[in-house]
Amino acid sequence: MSVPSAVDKIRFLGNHDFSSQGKFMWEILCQLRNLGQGRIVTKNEWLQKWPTQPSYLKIVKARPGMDRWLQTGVVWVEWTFRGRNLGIYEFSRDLHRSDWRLVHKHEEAELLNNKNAMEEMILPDSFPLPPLQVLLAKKDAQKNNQPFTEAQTRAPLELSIDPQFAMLKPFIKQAPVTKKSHNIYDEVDPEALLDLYGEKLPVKVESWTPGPAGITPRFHIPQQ
Amino acid sequence: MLSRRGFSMSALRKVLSPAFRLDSEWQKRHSDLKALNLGGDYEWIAAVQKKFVGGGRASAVDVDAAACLSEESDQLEDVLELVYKLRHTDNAADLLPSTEYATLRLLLKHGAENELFKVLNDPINYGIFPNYHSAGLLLDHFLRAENFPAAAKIATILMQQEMFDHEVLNLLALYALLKFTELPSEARSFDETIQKKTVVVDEDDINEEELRSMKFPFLKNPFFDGHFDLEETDALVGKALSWFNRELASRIGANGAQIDLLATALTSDLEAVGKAVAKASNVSPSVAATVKSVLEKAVGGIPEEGREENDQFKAIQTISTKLESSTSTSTPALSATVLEALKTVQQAGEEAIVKEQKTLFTDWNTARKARALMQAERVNLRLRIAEIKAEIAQHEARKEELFFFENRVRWEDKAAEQDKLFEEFNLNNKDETVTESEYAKEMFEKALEQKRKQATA
Repeated sequence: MSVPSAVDKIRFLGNHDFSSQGKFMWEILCQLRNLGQGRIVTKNEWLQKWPTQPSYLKIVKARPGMDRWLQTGVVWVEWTFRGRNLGIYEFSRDLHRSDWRLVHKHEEAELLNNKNAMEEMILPDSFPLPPLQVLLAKKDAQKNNQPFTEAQTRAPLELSIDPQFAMLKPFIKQAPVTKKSHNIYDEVDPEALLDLYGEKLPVKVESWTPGPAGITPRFHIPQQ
Repeated sequence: MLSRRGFSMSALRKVLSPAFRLDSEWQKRHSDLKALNLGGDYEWIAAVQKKFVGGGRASAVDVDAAACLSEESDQLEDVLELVYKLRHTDNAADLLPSTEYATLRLLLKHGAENELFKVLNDPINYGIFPNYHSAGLLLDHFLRAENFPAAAKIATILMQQEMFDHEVLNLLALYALLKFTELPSEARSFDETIQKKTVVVDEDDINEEELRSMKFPFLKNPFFDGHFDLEETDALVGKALSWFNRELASRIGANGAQIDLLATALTSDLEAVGKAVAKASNVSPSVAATVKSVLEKAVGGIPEEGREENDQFKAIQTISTKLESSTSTSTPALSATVLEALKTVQQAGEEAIVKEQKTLFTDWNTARKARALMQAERVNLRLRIAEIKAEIAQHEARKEELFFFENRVRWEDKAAEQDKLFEEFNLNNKDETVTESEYAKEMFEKALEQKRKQATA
């Protein structure tokens, strides 16, 4: 094996993915027989955020893109996230984080037999309307000789679930509020939401954007 | 001729039986391949190579047929090239298991060890993995040739792929690893042929002028996974020994502690070695010799002066003395013990693998035929579609001809439109200042625009 006489210096530009510890998905799968069919892979991020609840992917079918840096391809997996089996999902877009780890066969039992599961997230099914709006509604009701009930101070809450958590939709339930108050922050259990972060502070690695920082004015501010 | 220690003649045959090789069943593939009507083997390989030329691609079945047809040594390079090319296309996932098997058998047939390890050490670029039968063939080949480093390397590959389903192969791999550890310390390394090592480029060799920038949203964090990334001989062999020990715990029984001691000596620090020595009893002289050679190397690392006072040296001395006390000359070499265990399961184990492989042969043949037929059908359908399209175009032209006078009004409107546009663009007056090429370009662009307008209208 001879070293080439001169190697071009390659400078890699991009965000340093400091929170990742592992390999690319395709790096692991391309080194396995049958492209890892039937094997289990886990993500380091999940291990750190929810160490007691098992999260893993069981490979059903993999089709690598075989690009130079092993970052593209499609893999169909059976996704168990935080102890809940979500069924078969297709992973094709975010496989460029080197955060994946292969679970060896003798370690699989530990993951598979772990029965800790994510509890359902209970959020309120209604929210208190803003006080000014309630006041005006009351005044309006008085003016038109209509009754104004307690129920009219609240409106039904339609949850807006971020696409990042779309797979958790079956586990996000809404229930009537036990302790009503004027403030929505008092009605939601913060632990239910913080549970989505798990045990790790959020580390968001900004994706690379070209150009220097700038200010984009969002609103027209009239000249004084 | 019976040896004094009472080992029978059959023990000298330290490998799998010749019937394991399934040579005749493998030869039968040619009759199935003839049914595919691919022409000769050289011709087919050339045809597949032509498919790959100019950015084209061949299908997995094509490469499979090329690999299975090959028997000669000069076809070896070409087959490897085809496998490499298929692996670097989108269809890499379609690689058939028979291709892997055929390539490995071809490499073994011609004893091409350099190419064999080049392929086995580069799974990402070649995608060739041994299955249970071919792993057995590989181990068998190297043990017969007494090439213990190569056999141990195959055993480490089995460990990395976690192929522990067949006990007979587990025992054979363990035997290979133990024979490797019983070699003297100079011979106990994977040389350049067998093991690829990451080449660290010297600072001076980096060409600073040709600076290439590669941009990615996220840069990779270096991570040593301690499994596929292992390159050091001792680390690989040690890990393989401990994993096979775990898998064969029920079969090996009491000797497991000795294998553990070997594995720890090769991979871990002195403290762990000390603990392992304490646990092992009736250590065989072969294991003791290996551990001693490892300890001697560690001693060699300590400088000569003040060696007696050095803590590490003292620790090594304590371990050595403990080891000597645990060694008993009556214990046979570990490899012999493993061989005895292998003899008990050999016949049944071989039969199981052979049976599995025979069914695989028939499955592969049917799958290959089905896929080849599908591929041919797809090509025929594509040609038929082209034919039908041509026919449709023909019919449309004929229809226009036949209904010309019925559609007279439509044609007249169209002509009027064209006339108006000609007027607009002043195309009737040929501008003499415009050059021929500019004029042609102008006309071309206008015609294109017209076509686009008609398409949307």
